[in-house]
Amino acid sequence: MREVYIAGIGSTSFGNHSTTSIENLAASAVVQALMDCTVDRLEVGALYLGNFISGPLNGQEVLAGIVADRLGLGSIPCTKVEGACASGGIAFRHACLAVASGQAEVAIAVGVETMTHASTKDTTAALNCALDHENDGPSGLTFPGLFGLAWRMHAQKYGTTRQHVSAVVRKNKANGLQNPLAQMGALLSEREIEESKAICDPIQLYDCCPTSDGAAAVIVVSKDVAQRLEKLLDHPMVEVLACVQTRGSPHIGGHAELVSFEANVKAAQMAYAQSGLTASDIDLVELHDCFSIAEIIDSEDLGLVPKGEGGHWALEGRTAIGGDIAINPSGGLLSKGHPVGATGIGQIYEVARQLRHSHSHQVPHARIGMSHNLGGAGVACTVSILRGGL
Amino acid sequence: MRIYECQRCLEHYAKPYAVCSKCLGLDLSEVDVSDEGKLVSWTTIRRAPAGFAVSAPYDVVVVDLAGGLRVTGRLAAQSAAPSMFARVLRTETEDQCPIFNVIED
Repeated sequence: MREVYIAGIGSTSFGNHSTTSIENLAASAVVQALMDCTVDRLEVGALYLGNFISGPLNGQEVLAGIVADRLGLGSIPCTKVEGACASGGIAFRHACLAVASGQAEVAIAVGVETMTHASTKDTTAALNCALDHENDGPSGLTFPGLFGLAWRMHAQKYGTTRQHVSAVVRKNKANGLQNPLAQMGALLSEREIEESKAICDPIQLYDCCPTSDGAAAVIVVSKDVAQRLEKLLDHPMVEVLACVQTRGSPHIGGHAELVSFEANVKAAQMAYAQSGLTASDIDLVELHDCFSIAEIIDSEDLGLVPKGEGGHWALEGRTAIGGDIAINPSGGLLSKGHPVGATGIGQIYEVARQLRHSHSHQVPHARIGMSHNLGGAGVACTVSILRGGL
Repeated sequence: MRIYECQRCLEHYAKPYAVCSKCLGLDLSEVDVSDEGKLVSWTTIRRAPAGFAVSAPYDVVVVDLAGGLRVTGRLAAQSAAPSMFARVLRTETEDQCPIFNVIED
């Protein structure tokens, strides 16, 4: 397989774009990414679009071809991929594979979702499409509920408390204030978090990512193209050292315990092996904190934090910029927002900006970054490891 | 409680799968196992998904059945309060969902 680079990145803000159509939102992110690296659209050999619920919420499918139409792309393969909240990460992996295999010199990965126009009931029902309807659906479970169940198990096994989890919320909400793309940055006191509305015990309002609209895009290129572009551009190329995808159980009973997701663990192992790196080489990670407790679980699964210590590390400031490992300097899903299909590409955007050293909330001297995207009840996971410079 | 057992490898499933995902056996039979189990987690759903017939709030539970299978179910509205590792008993099944009650000691 050939080496693969990220040449261009683009993103809308995450938040409310209810007056913009889903295809226009996606197209605007792609145009930004193309302009960012001055690639001619006729050089694009493939487009992969990550999206989860444009069918139920927008009544629009074949979204990849529609977005390509709006962009005036050629007669290229355009494919929508779906893996619930991991849709964006999966789209990125497919774009990388298209270039690595030699099928394309330039490929677009774009992710998009619009959700704020729909009622909470309709959004919840659409998101619930990612539950296993044979095993977990009949109980009336929801995704906040799934992570409420996980929190209780983590607390039982490792003694994780409200205070530990609140430390994640406070960090990510504060990080979001430094990110112009973030939907809901905030400086929160412990008391404000503790007194926020109960959602699915022990999950409270501030433990949940908001409902969001947004789109993000990256331009993935071969080494030949990267070398040509680097001479023209004032930003470095970002090399994709690893990009893996794994499957885990789609339902609760299939996981050994909800204190860990096996798809996370396996993906991290594969990504470290593919890149020849270890967890201690990672300067920053954008990981899938759809709910606060998920950051604790994910950081442990990825080997970035010792098992059971995710909450302690957050409380001690070891996961903030300047700590042992910067986790979600963008604000993460909790604060930046979670336009489901866009999230995985948004994470790549954030990591690439950090590795270009041009982020508004920069991790000093960042050289190696990781992104982690998890879908459904742990059924799909992608992990990528990126490095700045050709 | 009714569950499903692969006739080739004896693996248990909560639902009537067409294929045993462990051995790809195609013959899964209904078997009845004890209604008793152990509560391993629970959460209170305050806003039910659209189209869901039960009105919130209700408690979703994860239960390890005495036979070893882990299932997702719901706590009966009149059940005693849940606690970690509490003994529970399935008393009915409603729209494919096992309904449990906490057994008070």
